[in-house]
Amino acid sequence: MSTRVVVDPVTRIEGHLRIEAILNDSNHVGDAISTGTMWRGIEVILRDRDPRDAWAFCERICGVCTTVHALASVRCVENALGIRVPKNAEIIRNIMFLTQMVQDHVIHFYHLHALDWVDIVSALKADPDKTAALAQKVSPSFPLSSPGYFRDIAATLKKYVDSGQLGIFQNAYWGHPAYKLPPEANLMAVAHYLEALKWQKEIIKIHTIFGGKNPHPNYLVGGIAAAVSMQSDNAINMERLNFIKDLIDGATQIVEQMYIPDLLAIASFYPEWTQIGAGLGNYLVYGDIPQNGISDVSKFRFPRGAILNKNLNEVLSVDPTDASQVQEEIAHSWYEYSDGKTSLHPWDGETSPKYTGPKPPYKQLDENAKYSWLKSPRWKGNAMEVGPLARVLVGYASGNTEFKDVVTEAIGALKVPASALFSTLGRTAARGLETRLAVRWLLDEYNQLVANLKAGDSATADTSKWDPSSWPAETKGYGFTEAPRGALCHWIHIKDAKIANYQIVVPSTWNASPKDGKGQRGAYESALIGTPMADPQRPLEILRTIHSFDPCLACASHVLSPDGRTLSEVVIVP
Amino acid sequence: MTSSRGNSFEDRAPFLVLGLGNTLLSDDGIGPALIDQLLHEDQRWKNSIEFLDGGTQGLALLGHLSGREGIIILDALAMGAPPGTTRILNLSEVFQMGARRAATSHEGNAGELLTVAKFLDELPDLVFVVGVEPQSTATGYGLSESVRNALPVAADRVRELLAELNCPSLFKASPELSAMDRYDGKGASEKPA
Repeated sequence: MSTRVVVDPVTRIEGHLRIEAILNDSNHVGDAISTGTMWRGIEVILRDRDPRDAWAFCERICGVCTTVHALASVRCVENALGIRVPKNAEIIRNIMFLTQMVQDHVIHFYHLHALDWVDIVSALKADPDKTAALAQKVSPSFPLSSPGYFRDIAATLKKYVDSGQLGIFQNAYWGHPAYKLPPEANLMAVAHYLEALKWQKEIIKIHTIFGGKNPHPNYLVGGIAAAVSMQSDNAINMERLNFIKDLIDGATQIVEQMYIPDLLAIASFYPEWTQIGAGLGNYLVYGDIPQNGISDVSKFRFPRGAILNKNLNEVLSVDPTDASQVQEEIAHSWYEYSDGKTSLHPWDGETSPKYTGPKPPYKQLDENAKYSWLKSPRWKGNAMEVGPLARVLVGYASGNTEFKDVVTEAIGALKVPASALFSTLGRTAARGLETRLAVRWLLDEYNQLVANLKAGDSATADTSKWDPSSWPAETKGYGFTEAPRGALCHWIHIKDAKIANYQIVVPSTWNASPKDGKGQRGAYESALIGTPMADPQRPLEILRTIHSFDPCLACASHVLSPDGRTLSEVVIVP
Repeated sequence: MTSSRGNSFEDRAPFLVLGLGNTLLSDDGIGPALIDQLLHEDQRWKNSIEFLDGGTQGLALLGHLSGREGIIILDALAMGAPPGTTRILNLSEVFQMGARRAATSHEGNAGELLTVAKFLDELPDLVFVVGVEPQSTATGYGLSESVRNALPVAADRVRELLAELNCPSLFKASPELSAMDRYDGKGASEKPA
């Protein structure tokens, strides 16, 4: 008899990620299914709208990913219309992209993922003096490491816990046997969680400055919406650029002196997690951060490419426009395609929902039938993982020295081989490593911008093709980016100056996809196979692996409701 | 930790009215829709209150909460009441329902946002959520009819609440407010003129 563990953070109205894991007799995951429980179909909203407005709708798709959807959207319209954005616009977009990546990765680590490894309640037992000694050892140059500082943090935490409102910390699995950090490391992590939250309020001001406002910064087909002038009071001027430089320096300190030392310190307590959660071993990266226009792939800071079967000796070339490469299947998805087709390239994509699952609330889904609102994107027929690990591996396997250096340093510090990256912990570490690169690139892009402005170039947009009368009657385009969670692409079909079709394949659709027609599992499903469970009633291990991908399915309805307290409903189905 | 340099473009109003919700998911967009109403009608507040469409930004909105004297959040609130029903919750009532550790970093409901702000000790004493019962949160741009019809009533509730909050800076910055608007402690019966 097998046990089925259902992890479903679904509240009454929302549609979220649901995982059903089937355990074998030794409480290891033998099979798993990953389900998106709500139909999104944002594409339908975009049909017949003005392509120049698409970004403003796309920006609303996801709460945290506003900027990447807006970026992919303006890029796909620019690609369709043959627009090349000016140098300043390219740099400013890169700065906004990198700002979001750094902010998002740090918050993912401290606010979401650290609690899978850090036992907050155990932190109450920590000795502030010993915590200070530990912090000074882990990161000697980080200024916040005095016993008094940690005493204050401990008092704040105690007051919060004593108030009986654990709030953000409730419903975790405190005291679970899979937690291994000593109380002092837990207290240090709590302190840095607070620092991370305070810091992220600052860094995001870069979006306010360049995007005109935040949240929902302004984008523009053809460039950026803001004016830049070293002298003017009403434009991005030297005063504001100096402020941005301070924010970048602050981000560098947080990443180099807090995030990375914490990541390595926590990782050192969980060596077994370099052996768990590898998953597919196939990685896909569209690439991003152009240095010579979006069409010059060879000059991207994040190299484009694919890796199959963990083979780091070969990086395969990728073309998102090639219909033989990217296809979306629906063998296990609640959709139907016209004429009985089983897979489509996104340019020909269809969004026709057809729900055939059980009536909610249901106890379990049938993995042999259709079981998800997510389609199954495949690259040359292969299920692929996208995201930080894919980017770091493609960069590393491409021979790029920046990637090689950060990987070598990290695996040296942890005394593990490079193959340790193929794991849950490797995925989490890769996110940190690319954040190190991102803060360096942020400073470099900033310096490029200042130099370009000082050289007298103040162009921020090419509006020569703004008027639809200059457009062809019919055209297609695609716009990609490397969102924090991985490869993101928008495909557009413009006809008579309106959107005839718009398809989006988001990173979490690659990672959380259901099985395809050949029965190949998606990345989440595959990564869960073989995971040992200490206590199936409290499936901390499943959360560790799923959270290592930074899932993005709840970027949806956020309604407050009385039953919103449920972290996960764990149902053991015999 | 970060910048110590002053930046003149960061002056902020003492009060924040923050709309939360996803405008692509029909009634989930009630918060931004209410902001739209209030923003266009309530010019008299403009120096003392910032009206902000927060979308579903979640924790990225923390920076907008700090340094305020009062915060009113406009949100969809699913209590099983008839669609369009408007309720005002105080902070402890909010914490009773929505506060939790998010399953992803993307949830951004009022409960999580306020809980984290509370933990950071950055919430003023005056915090309220004005919630409207949704009919549908299915994919679609625009509100359902019942919720759209409830918008003026919900907007009035926000105005009443603002008038009730007897906060000096709110009124100092809004000289056009009549004496009627000033709350005398007897309840919410006296509506702004």
